[in-house]
Amino acid sequence: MLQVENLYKRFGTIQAVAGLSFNARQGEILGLLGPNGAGKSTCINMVAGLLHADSGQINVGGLGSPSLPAVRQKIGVAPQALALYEGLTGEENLRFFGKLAGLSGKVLRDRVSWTLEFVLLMDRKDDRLKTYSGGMKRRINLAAALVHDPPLLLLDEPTVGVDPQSRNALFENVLALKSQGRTVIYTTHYMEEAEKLCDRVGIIDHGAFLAFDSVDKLIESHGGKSMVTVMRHDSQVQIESDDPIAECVRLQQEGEILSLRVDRPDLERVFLNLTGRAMRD
Amino acid sequence: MRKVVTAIAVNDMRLLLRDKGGAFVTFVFPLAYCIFFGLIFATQSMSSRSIDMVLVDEDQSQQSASFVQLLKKSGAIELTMASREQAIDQVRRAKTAAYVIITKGFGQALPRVLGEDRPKIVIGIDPARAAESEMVKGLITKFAFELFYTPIILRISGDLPNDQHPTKTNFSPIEIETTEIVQTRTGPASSYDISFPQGIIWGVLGCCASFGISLVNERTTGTLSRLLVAPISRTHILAGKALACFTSTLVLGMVLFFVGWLAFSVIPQSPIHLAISLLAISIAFVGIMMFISILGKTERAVSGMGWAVLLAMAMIGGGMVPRFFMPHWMQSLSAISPVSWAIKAMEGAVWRGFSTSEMLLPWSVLVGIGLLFFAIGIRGFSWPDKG
Ligand SMILES: Nc1ncnc2c1ncn2[C@@H]1O[C@H](COP(=O)(O)OP(=O)(O)OP(=O)(O)O)[C@@H](O)[C@H]1O
Ligand SMILES: [Mg+2]
Repeated sequence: MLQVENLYKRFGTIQAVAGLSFNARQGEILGLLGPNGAGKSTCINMVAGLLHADSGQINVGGLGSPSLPAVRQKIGVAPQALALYEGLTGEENLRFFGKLAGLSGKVLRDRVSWTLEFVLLMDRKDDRLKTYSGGMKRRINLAAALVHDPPLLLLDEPTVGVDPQSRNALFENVLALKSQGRTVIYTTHYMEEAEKLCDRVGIIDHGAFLAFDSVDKLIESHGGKSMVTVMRHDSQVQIESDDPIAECVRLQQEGEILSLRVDRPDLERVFLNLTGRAMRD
Repeated sequence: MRKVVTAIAVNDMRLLLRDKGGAFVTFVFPLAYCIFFGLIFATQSMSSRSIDMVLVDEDQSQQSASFVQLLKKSGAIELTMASREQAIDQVRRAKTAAYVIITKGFGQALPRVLGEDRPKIVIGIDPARAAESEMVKGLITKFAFELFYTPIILRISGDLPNDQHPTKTNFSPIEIETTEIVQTRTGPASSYDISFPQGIIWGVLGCCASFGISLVNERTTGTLSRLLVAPISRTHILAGKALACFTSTLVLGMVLFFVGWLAFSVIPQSPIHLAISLLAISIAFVGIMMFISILGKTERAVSGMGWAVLLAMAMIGGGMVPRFFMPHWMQSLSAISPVSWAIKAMEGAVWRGFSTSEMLLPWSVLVGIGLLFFAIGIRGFSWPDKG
């Protein structure tokens, strides 16, 4: 669905993207995970056709580069910076973006209602955007990417500021899109999101991938050992282990255990191990 | 793809209408300007009003000479003397309101004021000037009474009962023949003919500024990026923006002139010329709108710089003070302002009575300004992907 080859982009002295290559298959959710300034948005914007790469190739669905309008027809973008008309209602915004993508008549109406349902804002559709909360605007921003039902979705931190309940509902919906065969490129700071949603995750720093694999494989190869914590009457024992279950069994044989906790390594650890720093301060 | 351009234009105009300040600047303020200055100019010109006439004395008798004297002394009429041909020509070209011809035999007919062939006077006046026509007739009759009748009255009034006194009946001592001369009007029919084109300029400037600022607003809020990632070309985006500004300017001009026509009798001599003028003005100011949008990176900068440029254009172009109030050198200087060409194009169609070939100059200058500024605007436009 998407092939990206050797992408480079420099802003003045900053090398924002330095040789990114990846493929996204149809029906796959691909995560781009990295700290601030890693180059995620720059990458997304190039794939969206908004920025021209200094070098490298982007091919969407075998149709060619996103600099062609016909290729952009296949892409839906939810930019990181909200980009909406504050003076229009939620519905008017979506109608307008739908029209730009060539929808009209009943198809347009149906798609607009569908996306409003998708982002759980049907009840606020007739309110002007300036009366929306930050999280609601973020949801309309996401809806605007979906309105023309594109096969490739580029979601740049679509859940920033969205409350946990709505966020969970959005996750469900994004997973539903995936099951309908949509391809999603999803950038985020939130490890949990990436772990929950993404089939594969690219960990990106200084414009390049440090690792790119499925969440399980990343943890397996870069997460290090699991941490087993055991409380006894008189002491607390913490042991790193590749096989936490075996370790638990062994510890139980050594003496009575009051409580037991197993911390599997997560993407946070993966990142820490890969870069030597925490993802977020 | 025309649909996309229309969608962008409609969206833009909707946003403008939603913005109360924008709507005020582009519609309410200009209308207030039209009415306010119309009222001011109106009281000025009405106070110093007397009818000017050209008088032809074909009789050249002693009686006709004393009649002329009477008219001149009255002060109600500005009189000049001329030949019949000159007089007719002057009235036709609206140099003078009316002519009065004292026909041959006027003096000889004097004794027959009560008979069939009374002394005859011919008045030539534009049929549209009904009120002035009546006034002139009244004056002529009044002076004719004074001239011819006073001696007779003095002679016979003692014999008549009071209610049959000749001056109290509808009787006129002279025959007045009125010839209708259709004038080619060359002056404004009222002060509103002047204040409306000027006020409309303010609406046009308001439109121009609003859309220029909204274009920058699209860049700063990121919606321009949204438009760029939509499956449409940059040409479509700019065409949509231009169409929004063009349509609003045109509709605004038409609506304000319609109000002027309904409420203030601003009747264009050539509605077709006026329509073309409004088209040309819209083209010019779409170009200027594009130019304004590149004058800064933020709404505030563009608003400040944009209004500075527009106000300067208005100031020297006669948008604030009518050009005929300006000293001569300033009038020639004002030709560099698009505003002066816009006003000229409107006035030419409304009251200056320009022929189509005379209109071609302001029209082509306006279209040229539009294309030039549009080209500069597009060249200088910074799309979000350029750094
Ligand atoms: N338009 C621009 N002009 C100059 N520098 C830019 C521009 N856009 C991005 N950069 C720089 O490129 C680098 C990558 O930025 P980018 O926005 O892609 O990061 P990101 O991974 O999306 O970060 P975040 O998590 O904060 O969104 C940063 O150092 C940023 O300062
Ligand atoms: Mg980003």
